[in-house]
Amino acid sequence: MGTLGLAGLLHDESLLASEPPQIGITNGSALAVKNPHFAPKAKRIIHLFMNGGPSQVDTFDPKPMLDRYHGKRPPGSDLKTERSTGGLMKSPFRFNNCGESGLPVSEIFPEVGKCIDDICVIRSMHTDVPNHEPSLFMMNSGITQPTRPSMGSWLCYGLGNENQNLPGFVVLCPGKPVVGPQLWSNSFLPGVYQGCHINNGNMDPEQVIPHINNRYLDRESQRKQLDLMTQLNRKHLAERSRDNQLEARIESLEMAFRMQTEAQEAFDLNRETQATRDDYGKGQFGNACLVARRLVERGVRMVQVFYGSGQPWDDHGNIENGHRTKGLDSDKSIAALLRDLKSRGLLEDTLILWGGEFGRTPVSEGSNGRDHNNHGFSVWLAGGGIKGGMAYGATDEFGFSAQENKVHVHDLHATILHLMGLNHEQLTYRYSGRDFRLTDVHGRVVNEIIA
Amino acid sequence: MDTGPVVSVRFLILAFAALPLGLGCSQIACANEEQLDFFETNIRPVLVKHCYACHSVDAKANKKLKGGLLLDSRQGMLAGGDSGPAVVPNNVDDSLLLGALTHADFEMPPAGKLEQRVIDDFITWVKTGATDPREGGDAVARSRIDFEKAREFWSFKKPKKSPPPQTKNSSWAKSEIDRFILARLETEGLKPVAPATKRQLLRRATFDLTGLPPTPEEMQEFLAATTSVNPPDAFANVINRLLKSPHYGERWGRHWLDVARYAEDQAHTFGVSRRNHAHEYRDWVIDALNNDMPYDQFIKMQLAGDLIMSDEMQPRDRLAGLGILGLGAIYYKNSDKAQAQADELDDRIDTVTRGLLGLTVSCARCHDHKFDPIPTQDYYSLAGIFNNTRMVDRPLAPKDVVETFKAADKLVKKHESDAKDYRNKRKGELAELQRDNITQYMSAVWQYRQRKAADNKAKIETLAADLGLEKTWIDKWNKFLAPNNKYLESIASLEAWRGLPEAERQSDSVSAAVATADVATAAEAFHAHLNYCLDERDGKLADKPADPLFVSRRVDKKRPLVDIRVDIQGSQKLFLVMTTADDGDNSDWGDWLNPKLVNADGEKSLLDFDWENASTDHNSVRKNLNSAGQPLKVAGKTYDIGIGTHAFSVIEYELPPGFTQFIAQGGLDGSGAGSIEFRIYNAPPKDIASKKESPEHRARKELLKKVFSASGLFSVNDNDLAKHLDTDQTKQLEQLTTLIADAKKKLPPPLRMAHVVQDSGTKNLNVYLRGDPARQGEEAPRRFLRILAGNDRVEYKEGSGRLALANDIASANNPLTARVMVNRVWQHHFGRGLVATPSNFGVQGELPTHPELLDYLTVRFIESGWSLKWLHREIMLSAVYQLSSDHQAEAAQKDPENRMRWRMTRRRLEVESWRDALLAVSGNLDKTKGGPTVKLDDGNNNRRTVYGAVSRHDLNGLLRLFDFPDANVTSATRTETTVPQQQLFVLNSEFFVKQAKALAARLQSDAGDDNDAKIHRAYQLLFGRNADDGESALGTAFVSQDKSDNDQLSLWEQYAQALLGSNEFMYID
Repeated sequence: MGTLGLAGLLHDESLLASEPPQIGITNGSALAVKNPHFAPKAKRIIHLFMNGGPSQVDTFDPKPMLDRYHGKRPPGSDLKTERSTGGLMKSPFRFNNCGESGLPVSEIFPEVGKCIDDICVIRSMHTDVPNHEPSLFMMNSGITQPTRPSMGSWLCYGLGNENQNLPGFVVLCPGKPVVGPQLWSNSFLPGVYQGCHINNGNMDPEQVIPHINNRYLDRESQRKQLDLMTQLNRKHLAERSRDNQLEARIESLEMAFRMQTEAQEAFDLNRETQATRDDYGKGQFGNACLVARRLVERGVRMVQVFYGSGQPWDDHGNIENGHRTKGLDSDKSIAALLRDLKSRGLLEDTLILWGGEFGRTPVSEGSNGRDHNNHGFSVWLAGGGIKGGMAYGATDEFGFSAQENKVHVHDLHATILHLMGLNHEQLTYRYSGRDFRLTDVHGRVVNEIIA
Repeated sequence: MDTGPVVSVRFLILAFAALPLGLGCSQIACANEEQLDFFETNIRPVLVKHCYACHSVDAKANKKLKGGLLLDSRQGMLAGGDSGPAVVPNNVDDSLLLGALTHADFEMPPAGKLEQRVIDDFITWVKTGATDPREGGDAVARSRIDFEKAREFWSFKKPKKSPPPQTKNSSWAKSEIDRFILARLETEGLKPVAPATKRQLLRRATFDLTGLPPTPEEMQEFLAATTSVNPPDAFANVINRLLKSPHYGERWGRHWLDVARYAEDQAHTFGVSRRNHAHEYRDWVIDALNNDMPYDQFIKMQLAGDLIMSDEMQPRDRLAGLGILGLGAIYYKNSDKAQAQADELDDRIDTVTRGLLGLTVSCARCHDHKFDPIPTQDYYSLAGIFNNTRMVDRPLAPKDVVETFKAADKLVKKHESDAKDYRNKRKGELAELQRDNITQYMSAVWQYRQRKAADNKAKIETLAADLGLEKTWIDKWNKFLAPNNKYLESIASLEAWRGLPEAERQSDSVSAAVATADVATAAEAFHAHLNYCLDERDGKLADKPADPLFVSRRVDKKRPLVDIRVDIQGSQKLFLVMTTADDGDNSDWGDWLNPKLVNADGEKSLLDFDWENASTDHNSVRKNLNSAGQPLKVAGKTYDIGIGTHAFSVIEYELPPGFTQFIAQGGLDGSGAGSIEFRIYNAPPKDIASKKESPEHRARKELLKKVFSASGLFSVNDNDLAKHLDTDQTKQLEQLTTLIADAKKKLPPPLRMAHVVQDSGTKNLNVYLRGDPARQGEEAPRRFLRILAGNDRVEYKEGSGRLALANDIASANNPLTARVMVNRVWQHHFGRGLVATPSNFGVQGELPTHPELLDYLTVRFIESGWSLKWLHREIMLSAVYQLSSDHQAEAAQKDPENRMRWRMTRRRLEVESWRDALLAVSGNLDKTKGGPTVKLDDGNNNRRTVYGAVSRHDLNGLLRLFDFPDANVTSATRTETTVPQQQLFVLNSEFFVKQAKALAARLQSDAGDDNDAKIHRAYQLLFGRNADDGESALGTAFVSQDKSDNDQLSLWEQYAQALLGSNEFMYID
């Protein structure tokens, strides 16, 4: 059961400052829209999480030197990764220069390639550890252990949500990724900010949110029952004069009643035209991308779409087969999402982040796979405030480690918060005697990629 | 070396030797000791003395920083202040610092120009590269904590029992607590509201102490008692009754489990060690509270129960409490193990210090605590204790019980394994009876594949019936012979089988007939091979292994040469064997020198013949050279003719007929140094075959296992086996089975286990600079925090130091421990602590609203023998506890958060109490205590919520939804959120509807058909009162309306659901 915080009404913690009052309840909604620190470039974000770790040299960071030194193990290829690796392995894929910018994109992303002029590829990403779990935590919550809030929780805490009948942070994953719910945890932030996990393995609007559907009463009877409850609650409240928490719950019951229809509608893909559904393609990932658009359109602050359960991009063996299948499977849906958002005028203030928790080695694992690589990898950003058609930073000549204009995950977080109108050093929460930040004591805003 | 800005040179060198290259640190890494020495001796002291006051992080903190210039770190020097870099290494002209010292640019220090000698030192220093080991800002440039001053902070002072103050109103106070409260209210100009009604009071007290609602009967009893005995006694009796209830521990144990971040797993996915016995800790906590274990002992048992020797205590009582450490976080360790281990230590420190001391010691992990008097070294003093503590599982039983159990368990396992061995042996025998049906089964597999190709629905069963073969065996053979079974490739006798055209393509009758013949041939080849393997095993092969014809003495460096002369008359084969002489393979080079065969015609060199096979463990067998290809040399003499090899070695010859004798010399080759032995056989060596098995031989044994073992291709199950046993065998098996049964009968109940800790060493840790385990600083002796233990604290030398730590924490002299707990208890009774940050009593925490009251209660708590039940009574018998939650406009204006306690704060039930209360009033609650965890999402689980599974990886949805804390970290207070998803649970969840149905049924059975009676009963059960007329009418109207045919709930069930979902049920006045 994912929880969350639709329209949460909880104590009005003084945003971005000092320890929240422990008890004092006021009538402010914790998910009410809050003012950012400065004018935002993006109002919402969709994170297309390629969990498992796609290979940079097979997607957005071509390395011709790999062809030349295929099979060799030159100096510099002994960086520590998870497993033992062999010689350099050239990419099985062709790269095409795309768009007006001519940025090269792997043949496994033909449609995304067509959108490249809206995309900024960061080729110099790096993170701390070549293992899934710590790196998933790092990408989601800026630390390798399960002890901090996720970025989506921070964003909702900092900005609230624009739709009070939907959660502010929705996570779509058929089944669960490795690690699971702790990846969208609110941790020490109030529970209203936790990610609402939707298992889009079965995108039945009646089931995607726990208990969204009443299986016992017809609508009219439920309305009468709710009226009775409200009457009882109003009388109870009247006998106690003012009490915000009691009022809040009465309102919250009404909201729940409305949510039953509104949330179901948001997740109901049958309301889309056949043409749109064809654009996004069939399958869980395509559906998730389409739901993501429906959600951001309704004002949801952050939608995270995991490509699949477990760690699908983790191709330790047969990169060619694995990456080609997943690339082509997701290509159409991602491009459709970008085009759809653009045609609706949403792309300019919706930020898209594509990437995994780390990249893969240019050297081979086994005969034709690649190992995890934290030293260098690529992610890309598009939309809200991003300069399109550019590549930022660079890895070494073989694509093993970030060399030029390195961007740590902390820097990525700082940049995303910045685009959303938040200063990552000022978005703090006082807990356990100390001010915590998503970026801990790190983070540099990568201004070079901001339009 | 606790304070003082000067860090020893030795420490610095150590610290920075570990720095990686790059990052501008290379000059440091390369700096020689002399340069560092120069800096430490001539530069740093001057900077500290004359510059830091205005140019350091401390100065900055005190707002005394001048010119934006920091001179207390290398980075500060290089970056410089408002005027530019203070120091440019090797460049005297551009280094503004020098300009200032010489009074050329600025005049520094302001107090007067330094001696020329000192200025010259600075010039020399800059000229030689300005070596400066001081790493950025505050981490190394150590902040100086003024402990004397720090001890003035309220929470570090010993609690003092001041007399309760006088109050203007002399009638309101019921206890000393009230006088502290009232005095403060009077000062603030506030008045307490009216007392709660008796009904409110009982409901409040019952939920507070047990987490359950009072029953209507308990309510009646209490109301009656307040009229018969005097009211205070009646309430005191209620408190005593509730404190005696086993549900008290369930309620308050859960409060503690929040602090202990109790959970049964880890947050990650891979390699999680499950915590199946976690509940032992939970139950220990519950029992300890029910037994009113003194709180100091409660702490000691949790931190060091295993180290506290006690004759009276059972192992369970001593050990299970250690779960607070034994169930701590285990993080994912793969590539960055050191970091993960450091993070685990942090989990223990954070839980123990915030949980027990109300101190945020974890903040001192990377640098001295920014606000509290906790140096980083103190952090690593504590970390060292936990670093010498490892997690283990231990049985919760006395040693003799454990021994008895283990012995009995071993016996059961032995008998079980005997019986299994016996059955397997018989099964193997049965399987081997099928050795001549192999061709049939392989052909059947072929036929099955053909049939399958023609008709996808073809069944093995049908084929088996047609052929009169065993279905399961065809199935097994089919799987074994699967084309993708890589194992088959290693079996030469299956080559023909593998070469067969695919069965699927042979469905037309002509080619099928051709193929069938090929199939039989192919199968026969495999059959023949299996027969060979069986015969080999049984020693039935024609060339069966033999005893040696000759065995030499040991040949070694002392006696490196031996004569060999062997009668070989009638032999068809000759095996020259060289062994390691039973002392292992140790440079065992050996040569067969001048080997000859003798017959009637004379001698013939063996080298004129070619061997059939030759093997050696090292190098190769060579003619006329030693095994490495050098000349044969024994005892200094070179030989031209011979065979060089290395033990263990076997060289096999086919002998032409007629030879009668073999003659040679055996020698230890000059390259060798070990001892060897020469042997001659005329058949495969029998006595040493087992010592050195050939890979081929091993492969044959493995194949036999795959085909004929109890789990092989002709295996039978236990039931079928019984049918095949003769009377004797049956009897034997029965005997074995009886032995098992008997042993099991004698098996004591399973041992209860707990996840605990034990000491694993006594080593100190070094400080991790900036929290980085790879960069170690000074040693941190294991000992207690200086702010609490004083300047001359003792080091913990005994074991890990856990016991000493436990004693220092659970000490009446510790100003924090008792205070923190008293505050926690207060918090759970009032919804807010006297200190509103219950796990942070430091500078960044809230100050107590009633410091004298907190101290007063703390001192008396300790005097009471650290009795929590005493504390509950003391608090609950006060007038302030018994206030109503009424609103009062003026007070609400002045003190909206009710910090002064002018009323009782209305509180929402925590998720556990709410769920338990739903179960209780519906009549579904299962009050079973303790034991293994139950799943909360199991619809049939009616146990109290405290017994539900708590996960760090995937917290139960209901708990998550209703603000249950994240069990990855210690939790002091629960945030309270009100969101629509919670109400969806009320409106639509199966669990809620189930309770509604049960409640409706209960009303019917308790009160019959009378609407009014049923409504009253509902109000009594849920709210502890009768319905008033309006409520009664509302209810009657609701249940009397027409029911929609679509509704699956009766009107009474709908009504029950509405009452259960009401605010009155969820909130406590």
